[in-house]
Amino acid sequence: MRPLDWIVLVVSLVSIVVYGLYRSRGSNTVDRYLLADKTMPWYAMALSIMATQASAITFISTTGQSYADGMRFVQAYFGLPIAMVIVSAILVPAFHRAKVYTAYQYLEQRFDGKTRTLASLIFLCQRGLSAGLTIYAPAIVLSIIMGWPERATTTLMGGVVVMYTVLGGIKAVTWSDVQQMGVIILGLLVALITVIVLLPAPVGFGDAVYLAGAAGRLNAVTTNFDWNDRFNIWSGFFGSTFLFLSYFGCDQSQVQRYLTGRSIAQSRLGLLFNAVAKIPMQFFVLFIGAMVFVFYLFIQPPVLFQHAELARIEPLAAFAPTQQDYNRAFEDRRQAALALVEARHARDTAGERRQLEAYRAAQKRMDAARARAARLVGRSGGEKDFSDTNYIFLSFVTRYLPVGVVGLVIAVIFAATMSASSGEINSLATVSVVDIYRRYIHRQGSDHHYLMASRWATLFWGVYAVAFAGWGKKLGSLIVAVNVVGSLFYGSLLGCFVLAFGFRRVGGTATFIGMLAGEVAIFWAFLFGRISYLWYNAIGCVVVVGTALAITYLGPASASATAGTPRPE
Amino acid sequence: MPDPRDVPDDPPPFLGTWNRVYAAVLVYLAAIVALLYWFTRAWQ
Repeated sequence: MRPLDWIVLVVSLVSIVVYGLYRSRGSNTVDRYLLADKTMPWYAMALSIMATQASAITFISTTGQSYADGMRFVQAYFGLPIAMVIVSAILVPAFHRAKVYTAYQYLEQRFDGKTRTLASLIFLCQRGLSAGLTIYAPAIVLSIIMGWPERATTTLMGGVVVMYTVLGGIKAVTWSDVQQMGVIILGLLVALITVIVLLPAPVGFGDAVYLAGAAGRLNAVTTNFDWNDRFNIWSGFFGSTFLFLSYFGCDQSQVQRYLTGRSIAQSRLGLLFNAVAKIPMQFFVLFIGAMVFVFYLFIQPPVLFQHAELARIEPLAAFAPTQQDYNRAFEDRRQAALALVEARHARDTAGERRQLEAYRAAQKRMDAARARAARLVGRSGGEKDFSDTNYIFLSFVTRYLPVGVVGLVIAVIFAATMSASSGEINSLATVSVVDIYRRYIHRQGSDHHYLMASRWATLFWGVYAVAFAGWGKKLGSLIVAVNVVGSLFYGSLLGCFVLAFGFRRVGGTATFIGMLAGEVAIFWAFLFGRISYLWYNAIGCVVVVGTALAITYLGPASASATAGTPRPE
Repeated sequence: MPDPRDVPDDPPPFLGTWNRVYAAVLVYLAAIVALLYWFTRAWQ
């Protein structure tokens, strides 16, 4: 990075933090610290919801995914508008009227204390595992691409987040999210314009779209059905509806965003804005990756974008033929791409068909060479299922984007990390204090006592996240496992909330047993089934609901004894 | 449990009722999926 990049990065980060802290003045009661006194307007909530959901790895990984596999990842968001409608219609008014701080507090009003505690512990377990990774994942990519020390990067990112989250509470989190979203949108827009400007002279924007489509990089909708395929229209509609219902209805990191709304209507508008904006935004991010693919049609990309692993396998004898195949395939693809554009301009249909075949054949050879190099990494002591998807976009940014834009894109990565991480830390602290500390340890404290407890809990979870991130390297490939573990808990939580809102006769004990059965079913699917993780939520939810209903209607009467018994705090 | 009546459920700023807003969001979803399907077919 050059001085102008550093200036852009530092100015972006400092302005985000200062603005967030400025808007959070007066957060001196528990209500203000955890719920912003329910004063937030819909647009702030909307941007905060989007910023919390989009972590840095979303941008780094999504663009790389589009480069390597096309745009079909966008289908994973098809269920989001459906989930937003359900959450807005049912959960938002229920949570607002129950006057709760957390989603799990509502479960005690509806069921009983043990159900609330089990749900809180599931959340703390799941979100706690991902809190460190939110910081670690972009830090490892930045450290490899930029050469920055990993621990310093995680400490800097985490330290800034902890500072404004501890000091300003939810208001600082929300208003800094708004600015972070602004930086993210600006940075991505500039990146897209720049990559299109960098294309060689004969290739216009229409040609670039044509070339990306011809190589299968614009496959936004795929209709084939496969249980094991993560991204198709079926898993997109059915699997992701359950996933987003779980995330927005049962995950405190999102529930807390819309609980800050000044009215039910404002909270609904915030969520519905997300319903409308999320798919176009994700499409836009993926489209950047497709354009990076077109850029690399004319400038040879490395066989692997993770240069440390590439440098490690380069001396191996098996690598030389792979590199030669890759070089030849690239040259064939480049010539075919240029000839294809020429034929298209000349409206030469026969020539276009001929060049299209050559172009696609060369692409297949390049993909095969990349796959061989990736396998070589695994065989020579590296990661077994090595993938360099996360390194493609940042590698392109640092090599080819002009000075200033590089700083802006790195600011996007920082902003996305900070927004996702601050939401996690803030919600972990809220659940720890409201659902555990105030419920079981210290029931009759003053407002000031719980305010201070919330600040300490925020500091604890912030330090924990940074420390966990610092441990990341030692976790190695476990990181993938930890990511999967995160998706193992949502289904049970969702089933619990479905019972709470949809089945008035079902009581706390039946729900509690149902949640345990749901977890068993999800773990069974994870360990023995060959099913994409998007389906875990649906499986867990169905098992929880089915078990609880069976106990309620077929089991002893005591199982439903607690149904509908309000337990106000 | 707190009295639900003290949390007003205001109408939306457009389309009159929330049910119409939800229907509009679902119609929008259908339109955007159709558009993406066309986009995929057009550039395949």
